[in-house]
Amino acid sequence: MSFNTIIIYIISYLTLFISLVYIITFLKSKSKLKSEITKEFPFISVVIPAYNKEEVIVKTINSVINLDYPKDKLEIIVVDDGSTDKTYRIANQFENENLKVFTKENKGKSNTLNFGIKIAKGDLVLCLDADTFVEKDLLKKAIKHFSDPEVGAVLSTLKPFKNESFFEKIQIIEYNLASFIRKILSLIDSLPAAPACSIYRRNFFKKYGYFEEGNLTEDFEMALRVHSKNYKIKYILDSTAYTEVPKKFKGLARQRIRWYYGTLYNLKKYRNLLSLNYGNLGAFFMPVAMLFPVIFVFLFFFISYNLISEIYSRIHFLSLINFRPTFTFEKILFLYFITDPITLLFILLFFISLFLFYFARKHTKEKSKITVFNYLIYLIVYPFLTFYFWTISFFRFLIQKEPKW
Amino acid sequence: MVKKISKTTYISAFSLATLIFLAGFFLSQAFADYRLGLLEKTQENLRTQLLGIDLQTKLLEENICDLSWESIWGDKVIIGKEIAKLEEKLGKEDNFVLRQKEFYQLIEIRTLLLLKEIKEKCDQDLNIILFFYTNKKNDDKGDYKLSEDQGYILNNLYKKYPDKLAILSFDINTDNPALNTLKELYNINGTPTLIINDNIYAKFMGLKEIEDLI
Repeated sequence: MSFNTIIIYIISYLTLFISLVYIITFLKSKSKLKSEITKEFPFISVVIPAYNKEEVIVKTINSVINLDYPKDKLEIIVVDDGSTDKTYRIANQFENENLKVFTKENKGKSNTLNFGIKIAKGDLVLCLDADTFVEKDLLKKAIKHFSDPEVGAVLSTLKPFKNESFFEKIQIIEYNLASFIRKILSLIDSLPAAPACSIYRRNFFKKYGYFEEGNLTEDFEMALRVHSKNYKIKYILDSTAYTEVPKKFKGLARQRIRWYYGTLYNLKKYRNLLSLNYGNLGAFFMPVAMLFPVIFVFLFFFISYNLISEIYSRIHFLSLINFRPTFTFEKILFLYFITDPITLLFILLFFISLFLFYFARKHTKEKSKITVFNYLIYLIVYPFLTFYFWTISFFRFLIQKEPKW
Repeated sequence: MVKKISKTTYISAFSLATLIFLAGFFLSQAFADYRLGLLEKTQENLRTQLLGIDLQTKLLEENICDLSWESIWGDKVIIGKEIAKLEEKLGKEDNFVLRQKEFYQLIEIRTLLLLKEIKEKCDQDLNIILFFYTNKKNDDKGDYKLSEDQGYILNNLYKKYPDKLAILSFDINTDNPALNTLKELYNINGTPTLIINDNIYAKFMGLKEIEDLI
């Protein structure tokens, strides 16, 4: 067996095992996917940190104003992080008794969030990115989880707002699957994320500190901190927040390199969570999260090397016949290809991904049209891009060269 | 506080993943064995067929020109490819594959004699190419990559002219008295070596070069 084959088998086995953990958990907990509506309405503060978001801030504020939640139990705090555009002026037009707008010197997202949280009066705080719009029923569906005193944070499903550019379309598939997997991880109390739209207990911040300033993925750091203090993070699949995602490759690359760098930094910081004392988070999520960046970097070089060798060898062979090949269907070669264990594995993993994707769309009520072409690009080309971003982040992390916002 | 671990889920996933892996391996192995069995049977049929043709031509002095050379030659291309795939799958040193390969090359020699006879007696537009190759890395008889390149060219050439070409490939490292005699006959010492219509070319040959000779 060649080195390449052994590597493919090991990585496929791990992927298969992880996918099966997701599927078994999903099948076991199918009845727990629907959120319960709260009958109690605690006071909630919505904190919106904003920096140069003049184009979207109105939509975000309106979506919060329109939340289906008693108005006297809701305060909205918009904190402008020294924007150089009209964000503050636009947001200020909305100011009233329940909606306060502040502006301050530009000091980054964590500092801006902390500014808002420190003046918030709510028992719960919804931290909402300024380019993220929530569905009306978000709070009613999320709050019920806090009746469990062990729950420290609740997140909503996140979807890309626009479906126009090629990269936006691909990210719709990615966010869809990620939402579903996050829900599954939350079912085994090992959800480690708290992105653009997350609700926390205000007391948690008071007791264990605010968002870490200067941290590239302050939300991920906070999620790991929640777990380290033995709280749970829950996820609601049936209410969505829509967020803006990068439209072009350059924006996507910058965002991902920042995310992955931050992920590596925080995984290192919270490496003590790699312990059976932290339940499934320590036994499943942490090992996977720590192992896979290394696998992704390896895969980037492995695929690049094999791809280049394959292209070189094809060109070399074609040059031998003056680039005029005669195509014939060779039954024998096809039979061997289709019965090769690696082909069988890839077919199986493809169907598992389809299974997860189908249920992800169903339970997140995703309506946008995804073509087979987009899905195939997502399965074949997008992972390679991800490996590339991981590789850049990994090496930057090794030499401690932090990406800029 | 020690949190709960979903042991049953992990054990189930681990067992299922292992089961699927093993099933895949066995399935693939079973297929290779099945193809090997089929190959053995086809080779036996060929031997019988060749023996039949031998007896027909000798006993009845039947005109050999009535025989279709494509029917004598055709199936062997497929067998050659099957053996190459099995070598890849089961390994070049697999005893069963080695035996089948040796047997295949003997059938090729017998076919060669028949084809030569047809060509001589029947004035047919038939080009016979013998290709001596190595698939061993670091073989002092020749670079296996050159053999691979030559094989690729010949394969494409056959696809291009299936009705006027018969290509018979021989592994220089197969040790068999008949094959050794063939190697001595053409003075084969290295690879790749081509014998095109009985002319020896002990070198790598490009597509155009071969096309000009056929």
